[in-house]
Amino acid sequence: MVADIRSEVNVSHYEDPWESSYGKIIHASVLFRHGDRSVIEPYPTDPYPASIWQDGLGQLSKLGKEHEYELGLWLRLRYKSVFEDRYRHDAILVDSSNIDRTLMSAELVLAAMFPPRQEDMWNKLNFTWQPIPVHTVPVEEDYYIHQETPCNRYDVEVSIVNSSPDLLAYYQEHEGVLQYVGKYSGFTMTSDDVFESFWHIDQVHDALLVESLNNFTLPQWTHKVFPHPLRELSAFSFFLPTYTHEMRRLKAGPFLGRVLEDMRKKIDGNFNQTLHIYSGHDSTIANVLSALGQYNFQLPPYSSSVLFELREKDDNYFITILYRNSSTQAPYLLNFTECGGVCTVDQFINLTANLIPSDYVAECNIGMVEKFITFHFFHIIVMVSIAVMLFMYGSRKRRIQRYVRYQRVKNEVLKTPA
Amino acid sequence: MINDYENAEKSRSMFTEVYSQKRGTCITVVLLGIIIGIFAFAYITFGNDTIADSLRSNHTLKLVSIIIEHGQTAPKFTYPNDPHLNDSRWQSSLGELTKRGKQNMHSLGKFFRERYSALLPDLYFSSDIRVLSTNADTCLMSVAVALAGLYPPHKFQVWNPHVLWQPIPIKGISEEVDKMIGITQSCPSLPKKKKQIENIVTSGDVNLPKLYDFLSENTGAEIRNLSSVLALYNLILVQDKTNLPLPDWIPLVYPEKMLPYTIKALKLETGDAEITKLTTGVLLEKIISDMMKKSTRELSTKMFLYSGHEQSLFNIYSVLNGGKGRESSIKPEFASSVMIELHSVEDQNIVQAYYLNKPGKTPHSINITECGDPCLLENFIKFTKPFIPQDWTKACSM
Repeated sequence: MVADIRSEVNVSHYEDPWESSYGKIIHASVLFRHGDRSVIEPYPTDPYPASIWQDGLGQLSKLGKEHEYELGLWLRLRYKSVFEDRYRHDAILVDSSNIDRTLMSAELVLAAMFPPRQEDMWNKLNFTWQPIPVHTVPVEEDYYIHQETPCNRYDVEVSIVNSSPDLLAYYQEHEGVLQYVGKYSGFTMTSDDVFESFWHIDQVHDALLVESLNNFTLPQWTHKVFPHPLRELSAFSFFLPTYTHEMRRLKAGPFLGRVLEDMRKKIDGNFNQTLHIYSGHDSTIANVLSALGQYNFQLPPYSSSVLFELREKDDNYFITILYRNSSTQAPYLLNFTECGGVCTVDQFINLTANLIPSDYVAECNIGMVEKFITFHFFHIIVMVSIAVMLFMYGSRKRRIQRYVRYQRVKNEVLKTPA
Repeated sequence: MINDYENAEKSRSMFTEVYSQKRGTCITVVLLGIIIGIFAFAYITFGNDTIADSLRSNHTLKLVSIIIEHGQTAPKFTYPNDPHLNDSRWQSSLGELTKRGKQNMHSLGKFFRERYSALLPDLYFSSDIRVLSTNADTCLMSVAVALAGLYPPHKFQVWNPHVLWQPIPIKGISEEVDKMIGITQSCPSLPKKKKQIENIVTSGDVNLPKLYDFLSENTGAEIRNLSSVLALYNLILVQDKTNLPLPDWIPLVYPEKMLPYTIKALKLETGDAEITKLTTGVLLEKIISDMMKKSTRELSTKMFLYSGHEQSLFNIYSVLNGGKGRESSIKPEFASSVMIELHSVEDQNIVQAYYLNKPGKTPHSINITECGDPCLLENFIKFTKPFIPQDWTKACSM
């Protein structure tokens, strides 16, 4: 397999099939997943404890390093002419989530894409590496790549989906497998929190996958469910975070907004950037694909990537979006019902118009009252009825008291001698 | 045989006779010698000097926090009358790390490898080291090159025989939220506080307005405060180091006349305890909390690397040094660093700090005046207490 990649990479020239009709790529946004890693968190009954992973949990492995480097070589070949085969700080921008494995993956991709040219050599030993900045923001503020920032509105949305009939139906359909996995892995599976249950499924599947890739012997009970149907259930769990339109907007919207903003700036001119590189996670890729209506219910593999390419031909601008989920096959061109494989910029803007929040932070809080009312409609009715009943009871009591007092006063007045 | 023996006996008695008067003196000398020897030995073993000696050895070292300044950069700004305004070598890369900057940072990383070889194994383990950087290109790149020098891949960690480099995560902090290394945009009350201190420091200085006039006139830019003197000084410094011909007016003020004011400018951010809380307090608190965790064995990390600017490094130096003595007047060069080490000697936690103003030179020990010698961790915590903010965000909004 590695040999195949090498041979593909060894091609010295990339033939762009869309160039003649839609023009050269003038800007690309590249989102990729980190390379192979160790288990993030062993499941409760996991026979392989955290300590078995010498580099620590969730760390990039040596194979992962090689794969990311190969991804970098592939990207270099594809975009060499776009970035004119050199690193320029104003032409290349690199963002990563603030996690070790994505930061390292970004560095590796860059090491492959931008080896120093002769005139960039800074080390007498002809060191074939040069430093390139990888920017990152803390996880708590990273709604572009990591996409796990606290958001009230999103949480409300999750709780609504969690008790929606169609999701419960899906849960019940697979309850046998879920309970089986829960029983042996030490997790509690419950229809009260379908999100949580599927999150557990993903955790178990990921641990088993990583362990099997490292040639660990898996426990007997797993043979019945791994890889199938755990893989499919896990792939479904990656769809859950973008289950509704609102959720897609809040998960992938800020990222798509950034991709579009770069394209707009490029079209407006005076924008030196040619490549914007994002180093992220399987969840980032799944969320973005799902928001575009392109999630294929397959887990995004290590080192997979989504490429947003802006092309120009005679002052017309086109966009091609590709998904590369295999190192041995050419990337897939994403097809949209609205515009097919190649969209004009306007078509793409229309396509994503409803997906991009103008102010993410504000939107996470806006409409909270309305959402609260819709979600708690029944509770509110009951509370209001009780309040009204209490009030009526109270006012009746006060009326009686007033009457009694009136009678007493009347009697006293009558008793008073004239 | 017998004869020989007799002769020996004889000569011995002769020896005793001749030297008997001097025997007393001899014994005294020997005894005194032994006593002095014992004292000297005791001093060497238990004396203060030796603690310092043993501290220099790596075996007592438990943790080190290092603040580095990025390597040489192309000038960040220029002035209207700058003859090198349109110099092509900097056109596309204002403020970017230069080749020499990369080389210096690489040597710095190699210096750390040598100095901390007993602390950090050759192999990279993510739990050994944590790296934090401002989000500025220069700082991110500088620390990346330093790490290339500190951790060249070894043995099974060589992942590509053609690229003798390995990736190491560098965590960034965006400028808007940076409380720790580059506090410029994140603390609204800082500029006002700085201005107040500047007014106090510069009041009554009759030479300063003349210097401002001179610099403004010659540069064609508004040079009316200490920070702009510092910025101009650093610009000239880079041009000077790159051997560019400088205009005739520059040698009249550079470096002698400008230097004291650049240092004054750097000192503003640690001018009093209140401003120190804003500029240095959070980093200081982090360093102390790491040392405390290390002393109770709650922390596996052995090295923290903070990649910042000249000002970040100066601030921490200034707090350690107490701003006193001749040594307080440093002007950090590119790629300089401050190392704060925690040693454990016979169950005592001792803090040692070093300053290296240029890779390739020997670092000098920073005299932590307020802490005592040796500087015990508990004393270190005590003396830095006034600089630790209770609520940084609140203090920054006042």
